[in-house]
Amino acid sequence: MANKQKGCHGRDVFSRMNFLYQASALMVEKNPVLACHYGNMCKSVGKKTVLRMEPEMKRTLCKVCGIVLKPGVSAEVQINGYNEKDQMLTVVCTMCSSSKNFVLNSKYDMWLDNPRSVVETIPEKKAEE
Amino acid sequence: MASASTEKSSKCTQLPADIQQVKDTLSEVVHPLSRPAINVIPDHVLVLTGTKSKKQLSRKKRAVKKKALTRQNRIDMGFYSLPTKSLKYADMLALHNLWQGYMKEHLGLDAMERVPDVADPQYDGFSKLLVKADLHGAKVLVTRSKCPSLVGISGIVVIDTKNTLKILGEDDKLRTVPKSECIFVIELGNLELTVVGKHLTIRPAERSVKKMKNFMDLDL
Repeated sequence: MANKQKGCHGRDVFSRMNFLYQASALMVEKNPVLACHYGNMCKSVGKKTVLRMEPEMKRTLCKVCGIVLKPGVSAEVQINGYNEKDQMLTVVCTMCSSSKNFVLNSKYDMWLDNPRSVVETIPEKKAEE
Repeated sequence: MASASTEKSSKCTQLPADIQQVKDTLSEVVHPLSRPAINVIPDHVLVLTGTKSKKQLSRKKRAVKKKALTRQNRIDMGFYSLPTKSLKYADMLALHNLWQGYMKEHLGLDAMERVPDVADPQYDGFSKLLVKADLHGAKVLVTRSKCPSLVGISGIVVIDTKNTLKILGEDDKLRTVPKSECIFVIELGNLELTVVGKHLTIRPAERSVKKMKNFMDLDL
């Protein structure tokens, strides 16, 4: 029953990380300290079980305090650089004032965006049976 | 006696003033009795001149990358001292709703007709799943405890630590309850799941990794 349900490795851990991420996003406005706690928990669960988050999702967590970076609420977002070539997107966490930089106009794509990176898709129906 | 070592440098020039300088510095180093014996041979003195490279001149102190918060930082930000009165129970209901959805998916309640009984073969797997689940946002009631004053505390779990649960009651008060002394009833929709607190005394991050062995005997 419960064991058959697993379609992929670490399914229950992924759902737990997902829940914690959502909880963090929910508490950002009401109680940022709790949001930090849940985001940190999400990261540490992933570390313990050696399962990785999707990069786009990982980039929305503050790397120091773990809060979900919501522009205008828990983060300040600005674009630096005059040249189009070296423009950077800077996200500053309002909780711990650490910053993340992302290259805009990059020549490279992430490997995960490449359709060749998909090895196998597990249909959802199979997982629910 | 004195001869300055040569290095991979560009130009070498000689100046009598430099020889005097070498003599002075040597006499400071050498034992006082052997000072008169100092004899600097001008041919052997090489003065190294050269400019510092651009990299050396422009070496600025790089800002140290802030990697992790120290404990003091965490205390300053209030991570360890949640306000005991300003948290609102109504706000946490949203978290509870989210948790209900997660828990139903985690336990596989949709696919199941009923929760397995003690005699059922699935009971072991189900109870392992239950212990591994995340408790942030669960509605919890303390039914039995070593400490009689803890019995009857109910509310939504806000923070889960290794040995305690921080429970926000309906009266907007945050209470800390030790796990190992209590038996909890977790409300999930129309279900009531009873969990012995002693089985939950694992750090929440390690909970999904740790292998649960035979559940230990109770001591209550």
